[in-house]
Amino acid sequence: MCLAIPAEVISIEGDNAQVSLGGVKKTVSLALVDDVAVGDYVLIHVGYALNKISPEEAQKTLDLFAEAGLLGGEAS
Amino acid sequence: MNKETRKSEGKVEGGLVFDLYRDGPRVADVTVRSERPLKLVDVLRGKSADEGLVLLGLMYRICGVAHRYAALTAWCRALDVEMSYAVRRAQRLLVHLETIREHLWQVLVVWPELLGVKQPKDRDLTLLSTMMNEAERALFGEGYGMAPAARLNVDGERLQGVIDRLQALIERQVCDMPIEQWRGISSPEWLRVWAQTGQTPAAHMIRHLYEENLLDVGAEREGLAHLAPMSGHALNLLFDVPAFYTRARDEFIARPTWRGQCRETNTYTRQTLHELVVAVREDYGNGLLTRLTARLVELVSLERTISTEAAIVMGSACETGAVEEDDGVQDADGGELAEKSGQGAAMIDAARGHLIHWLKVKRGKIADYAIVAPTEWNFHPDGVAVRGLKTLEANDEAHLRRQATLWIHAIDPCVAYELRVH
Repeated sequence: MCLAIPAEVISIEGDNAQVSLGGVKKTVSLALVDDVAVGDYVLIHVGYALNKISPEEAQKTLDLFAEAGLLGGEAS
Repeated sequence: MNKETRKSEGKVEGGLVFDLYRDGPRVADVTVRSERPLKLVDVLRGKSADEGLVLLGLMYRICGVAHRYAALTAWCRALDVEMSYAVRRAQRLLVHLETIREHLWQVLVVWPELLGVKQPKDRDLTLLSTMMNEAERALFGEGYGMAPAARLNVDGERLQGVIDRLQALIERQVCDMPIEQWRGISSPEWLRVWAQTGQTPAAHMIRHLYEENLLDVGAEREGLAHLAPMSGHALNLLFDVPAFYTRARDEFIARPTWRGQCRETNTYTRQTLHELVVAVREDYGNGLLTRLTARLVELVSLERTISTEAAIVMGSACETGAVEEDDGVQDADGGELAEKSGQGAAMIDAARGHLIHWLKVKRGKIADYAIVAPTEWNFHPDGVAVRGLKTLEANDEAHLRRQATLWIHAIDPCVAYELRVH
């Protein structure tokens, strides 16, 4: 419901980036965001990076999804 | 980042799966299955209001401002506290801005995709990703704008800057003419002339509907009743139920109906009495053209609303000082908020329709929480999206898919979906 998922940018090619969501790789558009670099965290939704967020905010969000049982892994 | 996650983005955010069953050129049946994680809010139980609002902001990023505003409103009602008028007005301005952003996302990003137009990166579109944070900072400084203790800290120049950029984007990339002039379009004939001459994605989409004869796709003679505002008392009765009624409550959250009927709630239902929407509906029914027109009408209407609202907020900041002196929240009976109990509901207009939040607080902590989003009403198994899909006719699968895709986007789910034709 109305969710966007944090993912780490692992490579950039033109207007697209490859992101990693817990090891699952996915290509997303960077059309809506500026100044994104490899290693940044972005919120992704239906194939687009919506915002750049800090690693801390990304971790908090993923922790929350894990607590809700939406993510398969455990916090370490 | 050290967390292992194994599910894909799609599985986390959930989605909708449509199955269309053909019988010759007609659609014999349609089913929709939701895989949306509707019980996510259970993680809020036991949290304080402040913590809960921050967590909601992290969880719900699509229409996140509307979610936080609805949550805060419900919380205030639960504990019988009032926020200052100026703060509430500034918060509503943020909700309006977010609705504009969601419409622009559809018109400037999704519509070109649906038309198969590959657009080069346009730096102007990055405003869609930055504008909400920028506006919240302009209104509330570095403080959190949707918190019980929110206080206005208005930077008028910064706020006006966001609005100016937004207006320029709408004028140049949606209207292709002065916005005031676009607002003067009042008949299908004028709309068609604009679509034939305009060079924006919006004009291209409307022109496409005319050229491909898709104007009344999804229209049905007897439309669904629109979802009317529900009272807090009615919502409390729906959600605050004994354990043996939780199945009925869960059913309402997943597949809501009201008085035994499906309801529709979206941009079209909000703009149903607008002069241009009425005129287009008279000619083409409540199908694609009418619904896309309603989106454009609301977009340009809200452009005027935010200018007015921003002027009021900035005016009130001038009267009281740019930074509010008192706390934004006032406890009506002077009690200790951390110890209070109660329940409250809010039903607000978010970009995609009515958004309901309800919560129960016990001794300052969230004891129970429920959300019903507009997608659950509009994409109900018997809702407006499915009813429109059942009206489609096409001689080949590709054409059927084309119509179905345009229709689903016209109703506008807030999640990804899969369309299967059998």
